Amino acid sequence: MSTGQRLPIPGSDDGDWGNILNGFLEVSLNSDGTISPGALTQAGGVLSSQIGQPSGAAGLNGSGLVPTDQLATGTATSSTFLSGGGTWAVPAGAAGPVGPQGATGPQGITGPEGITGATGPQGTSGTAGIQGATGAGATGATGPQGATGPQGASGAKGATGAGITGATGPKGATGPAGGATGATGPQGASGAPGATGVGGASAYASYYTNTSTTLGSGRATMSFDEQIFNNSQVSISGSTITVNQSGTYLMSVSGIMQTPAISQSTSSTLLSFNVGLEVEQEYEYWETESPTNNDGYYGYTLEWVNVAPYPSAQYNHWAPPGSSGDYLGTTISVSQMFTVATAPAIYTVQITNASSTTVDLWDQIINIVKID
Amino acid sequence: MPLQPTFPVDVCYMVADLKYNARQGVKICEVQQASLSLFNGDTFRELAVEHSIHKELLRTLSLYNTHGWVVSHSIADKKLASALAHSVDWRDRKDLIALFSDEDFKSRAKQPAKDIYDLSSYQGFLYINWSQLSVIHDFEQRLPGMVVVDKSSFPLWIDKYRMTRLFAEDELLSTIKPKWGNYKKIYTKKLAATITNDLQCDTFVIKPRGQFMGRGVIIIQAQDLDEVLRYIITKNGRLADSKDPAYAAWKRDRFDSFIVEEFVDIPTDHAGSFFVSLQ
Repeated sequence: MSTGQRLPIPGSDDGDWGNILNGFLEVSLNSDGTISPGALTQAGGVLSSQIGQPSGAAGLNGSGLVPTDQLATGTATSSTFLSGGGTWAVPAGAAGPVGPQGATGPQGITGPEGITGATGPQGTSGTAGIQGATGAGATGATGPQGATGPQGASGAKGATGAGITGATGPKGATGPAGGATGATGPQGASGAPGATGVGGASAYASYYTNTSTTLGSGRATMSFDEQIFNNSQVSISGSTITVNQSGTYLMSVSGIMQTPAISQSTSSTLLSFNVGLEVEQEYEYWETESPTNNDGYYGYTLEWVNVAPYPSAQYNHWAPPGSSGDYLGTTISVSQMFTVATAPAIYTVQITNASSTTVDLWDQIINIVKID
Repeated sequence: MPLQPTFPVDVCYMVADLKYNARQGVKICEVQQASLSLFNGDTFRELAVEHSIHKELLRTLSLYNTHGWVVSHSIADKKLASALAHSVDWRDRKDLIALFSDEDFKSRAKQPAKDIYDLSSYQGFLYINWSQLSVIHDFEQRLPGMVVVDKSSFPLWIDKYRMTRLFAEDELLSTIKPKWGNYKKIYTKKLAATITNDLQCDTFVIKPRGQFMGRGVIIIQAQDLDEVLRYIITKNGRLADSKDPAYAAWKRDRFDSFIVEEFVDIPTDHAGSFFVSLQ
């Protein structure tokens, strides 16, 4: 850059050379002879005020080294190094081994529904519910619906399970976000067994007699005159019980035994009786019993035979002391299991009065159910 | 290593008549099937319904199997039957006919358990007293899917002598049973003296073998023992006119022997009931 100043020219500049020389010197010198800062700066020198300042120059410490705070920001320590970014930083070590995979993060927000995945395998059939039995003369109740199967694991929406009893198959979880097609869902667990059914009463027969029957001493046949309910293979007409289907049956008989106007000593047995079942069976007559043509054989007839155990119940009921003149009664409740090997078979219920008096039998009821 | 089970599953619900005094400690006077008993002690304590002994039974059974059938007419304590019947997985059938009219029961009862040592592998419990179930003499074969409650105690059904003998068969148990004896129903004038000498006490409890709910239980002093023995054996004498149910019950007793037990006194400040978890 030209300042327009020059040195005086020897042999010329008479009378003006002093001014020319001063102008020349004042370009770089102060009036006291020191170097002008502007001249020093223009000449590329560094002012002391510029040492350690931005756009200035680095100074040196007592060891002739550039102080660390002029080399980079941050704090220089024994473990930090000057980084290319102008900071004192701890250098990264060599990469260690890959650590174990972290735990699965929390489930993300449900994404938009993905494309329906492939249909999952059908769930294992639920345990069949018990089919309701035929009701009274009508179609039996529908068996109970199986319980809903448990929810399947995550994955695409699986197909609905098809339990035999209608149990709902497992539902697939929502697919991943982004709408990508989810993988086929895992097979759902089997549905739980169906709940216990509420319907379905077995076929049974129920009859009663609502009038009283007076029983003298000895064995008599109980009679059941009115049908309460019957959807079974058992028919009852008066005292005759006909079982039209082979199988094992359970019979129960109940009623009230009562004797009127008792008058007895305190220790007497007033009501004593037993109840049992008898069945009609074929009986073979042999020649020795009724000889005919000496062939050793006569034929068949029918006879009544006690069904073991006989009797199935035994009652002894004492009058309480001081009860003379009162009625004495007791209820009976007898159950017996019996098996019909060859149907039809005919049975009767026998009651034997061993009391010291006649006894009235009231409200006898019979129920028979096939149990097997 | 778990022990290999030896016996198939079995559940008995029994009650014990416990008495305590400072001199003799705890004595077990009697044990019998709960289906023959009435429970009142827990209600006297004013426990909440869910803490009643009936609910505790249901809760305990449900730890192993939640399903069951109760034949309610065969259970003496109707609240007990009701507590079971009100569970959603239990069914109440009033008697055997009703039980076997239940197709669901019949079907499930026929299904054998997959593991006879595991209560949960059965179809459910069947709670019925032996007086009714005994008609189905082959019930173990006919109902393989059921855990029949009290099954192993059925041979001791309504016989206090057999039940009491259980105590005599174990050295420890015999120490917590009051002194007792079983005596034939043969009256002699020496019988009272024999019993007094056997039991070495002043007050006796006489029990029929086949009664329950306290029927026929007579508490008697030594000086009156002979008269009571004569009545319960011969059914004659002044006591034959008594209207006291404790005496009247002996007219129906069908056993050929009876039980006499040392009376265990309870201090009045210890009288009452207590409740122990069934689990």
